[in-house]
Amino acid sequence: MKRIRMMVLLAAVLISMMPLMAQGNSDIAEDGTFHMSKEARIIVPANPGGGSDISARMIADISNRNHLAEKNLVVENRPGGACAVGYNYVGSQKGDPYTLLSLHSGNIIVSAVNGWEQQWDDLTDIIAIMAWDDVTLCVRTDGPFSTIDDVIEYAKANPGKLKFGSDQRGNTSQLGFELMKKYIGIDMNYVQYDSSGDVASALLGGHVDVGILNPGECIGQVRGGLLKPVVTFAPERISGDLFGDAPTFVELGYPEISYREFRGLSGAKDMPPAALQYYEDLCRKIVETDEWKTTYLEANNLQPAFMAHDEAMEFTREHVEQVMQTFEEVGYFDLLN
Amino acid sequence: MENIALLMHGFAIAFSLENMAAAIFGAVAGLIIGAMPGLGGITGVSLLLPLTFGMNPTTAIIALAGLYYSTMYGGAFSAILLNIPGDSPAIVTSLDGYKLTQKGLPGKALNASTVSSFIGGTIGIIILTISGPLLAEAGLAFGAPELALLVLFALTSIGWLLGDDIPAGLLATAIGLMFATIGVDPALGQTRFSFGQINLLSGVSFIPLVVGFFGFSQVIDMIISGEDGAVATKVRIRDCVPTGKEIKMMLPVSIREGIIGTFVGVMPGAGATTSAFLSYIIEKRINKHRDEIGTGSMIGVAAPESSNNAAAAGAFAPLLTLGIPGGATTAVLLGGLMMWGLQPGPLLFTEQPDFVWSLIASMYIGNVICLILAFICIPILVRAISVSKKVLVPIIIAVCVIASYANSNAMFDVVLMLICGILGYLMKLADVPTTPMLLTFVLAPMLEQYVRQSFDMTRGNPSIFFRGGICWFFIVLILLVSFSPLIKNFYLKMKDKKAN
Repeated sequence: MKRIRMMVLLAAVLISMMPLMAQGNSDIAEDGTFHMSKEARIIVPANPGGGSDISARMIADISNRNHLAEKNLVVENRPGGACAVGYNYVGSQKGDPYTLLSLHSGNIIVSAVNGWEQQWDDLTDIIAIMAWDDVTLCVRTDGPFSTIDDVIEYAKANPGKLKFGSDQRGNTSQLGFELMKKYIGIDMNYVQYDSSGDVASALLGGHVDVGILNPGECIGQVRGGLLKPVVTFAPERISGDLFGDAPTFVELGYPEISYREFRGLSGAKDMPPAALQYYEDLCRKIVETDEWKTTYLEANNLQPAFMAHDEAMEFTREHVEQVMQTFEEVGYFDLLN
Repeated sequence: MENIALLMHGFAIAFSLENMAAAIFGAVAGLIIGAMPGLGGITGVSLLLPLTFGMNPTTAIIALAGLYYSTMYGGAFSAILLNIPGDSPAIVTSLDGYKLTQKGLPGKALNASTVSSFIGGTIGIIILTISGPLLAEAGLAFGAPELALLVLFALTSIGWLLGDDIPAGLLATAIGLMFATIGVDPALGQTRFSFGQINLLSGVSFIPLVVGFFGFSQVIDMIISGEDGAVATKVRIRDCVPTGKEIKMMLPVSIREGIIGTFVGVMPGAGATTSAFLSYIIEKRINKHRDEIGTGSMIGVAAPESSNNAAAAGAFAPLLTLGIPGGATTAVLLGGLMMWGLQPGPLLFTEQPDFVWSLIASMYIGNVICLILAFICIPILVRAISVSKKVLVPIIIAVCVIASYANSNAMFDVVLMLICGILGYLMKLADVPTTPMLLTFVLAPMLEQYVRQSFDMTRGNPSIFFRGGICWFFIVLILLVSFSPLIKNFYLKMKDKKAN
């Protein structure tokens, strides 16, 4: 009796495991195209409510509502270690076509600058770059500065006095700081805050002189007349009335001070090429929707962009190289050792 | 007076069916989440925020705000009944609250916490209604040096948390400090003591630590001691109701600490935990019955509970009027505002009056709902801890594991919780107090960050700590608090001499 029961149990276990075993490459049809057989997860390596979270939810929402993918995309937050926990989790799902990641260039820089054992391109493949998130330098409207020239003049006259509010080191905010120091030849104090929200409040309180912020992080205060963007780090001016008056560093005669942050979608490393192609097409469809253009790009003051996998990987590698070179030149790594 | 008219309009919107449902949902969820050891406002709001994606922003914020201040009520429950703080502000509540439970008066402690929470919360909302924008401006005056001194002032409470065995207390403080240094440092981004563990990069999470040290260690103790009794013996409902005299004693405390809590809540980054510690220190210094505080006094429960609820309300002032976070939980809510397509900033009040004023109105309503809900729960809760340990132990274990796992969806935090539990039990065996450890763990990273930021601003010139009135105010307070026993002794001695 006992043996029979065991046999039945074993059979039941085996049967219940069948779908798992059968999975393999069955999602690739005979003609070589990929078809989703279950939901895919977009991992957000940060807490809900942040930039990476909002972009992931936008991508999932637009795709699900318009049935752009065969199955739903669901968002999962895995915060911690300044994005290291999320990135390494995705890295542990190597080859899985159902594990995606919310892409932000700042995270990629962190992986390189902090010298992770496995870096962004060991853990993930970029599927597509989908938006530019430009960076501006803001001052208080009722403060002593009203243009970038004022700021530079003060910094030149008072070396080591200008307080530069920024978020955590080792990312693109610090890149902006280092580039300014190097190419304008000014000496400033880097004051590190936990988040850009804290930078904004220190700037409003007059505790720092300038703050480095994305338009989406300060648009409310800019519209309300409390903060003023004095310069943008992007190669072109940001569109729109609020930020359009801020010149670029290129215009000011500092062509070396030029970079952009970007957002998009990545996936687990080494997913089948057919699956990569599938998600690439999905991203292309998403950025063409009106919802993406209005409720996401316009509302968050992002600039439209699209680069598919190959181009995006190459672009990112170059970007990382530029950043690493700058950090090396300013002696950031010597400082740490 | 325009505010009052706008507020009335807000009430009209808040009383709509879906918004009332949202407020009640928020209150119930917050009470439960707050009561769960380790799960506090920030976890609750983070867990529920994704669900509100695409919802009407007004309904969404009413639910989430309700959840946030409701956790302040719930957090006290497990602190008082089981000595497991439900969230970080409730650490202070557990000091006197659990002593009251041990005296067989858990009902009184729960009632004291609920009533003072209500008073504190309401004071916070009233101040927010009248002077929200002004309040937020005042909060901006607090930069890194001012906040560093504020935290330092809160840390002076360690003096009497150490207990009678001072080396043991200092040992606990040192352990807390050691835990606090783990992870990426706040100034240079260097990793400290992470031992190559990715999960330790952002430091030891507060939730598994608290759940382990308070909750799980208690479970180990219950299992090993093996008695099959209840935590508290049968409690009569009669003993739960506070007497007129006790209410008279608590009322001024709640009002005073409610006002203080509101202001602390407005300061960037300070928040409910700091305010709870501060109000406890203040009462311990100035209250007529200060000698009873720390031995199981209702004042010791009322002060932190009133001020942490007020701080939760105060934290909304910078969020709504300037679009900047007042604390960790409002930082998540700020993300929520953007997610719902609003632009947080100074124009929110004028451009989205329906959103802002119905939120404020809903806070008045939500506080009443919380009060009623808590009163309904108290008799049940009081009975719940009279159950046998055989039943209680498996439940607490399950709650400990779930709370730790939910923290970051990782087994790592569960293991961490178990380790902290064992360490906590060993500390209990050795009579090392856990509260100083927890206090340092919470406040030391804040102190470090603010001090480093201040030095960043001036390249290491300490003169920034003396830069203005606020700084000097705290310096004087710290000196007074630190040296008052000395001065008092000296004064008494002089008096003795004169008498001789």
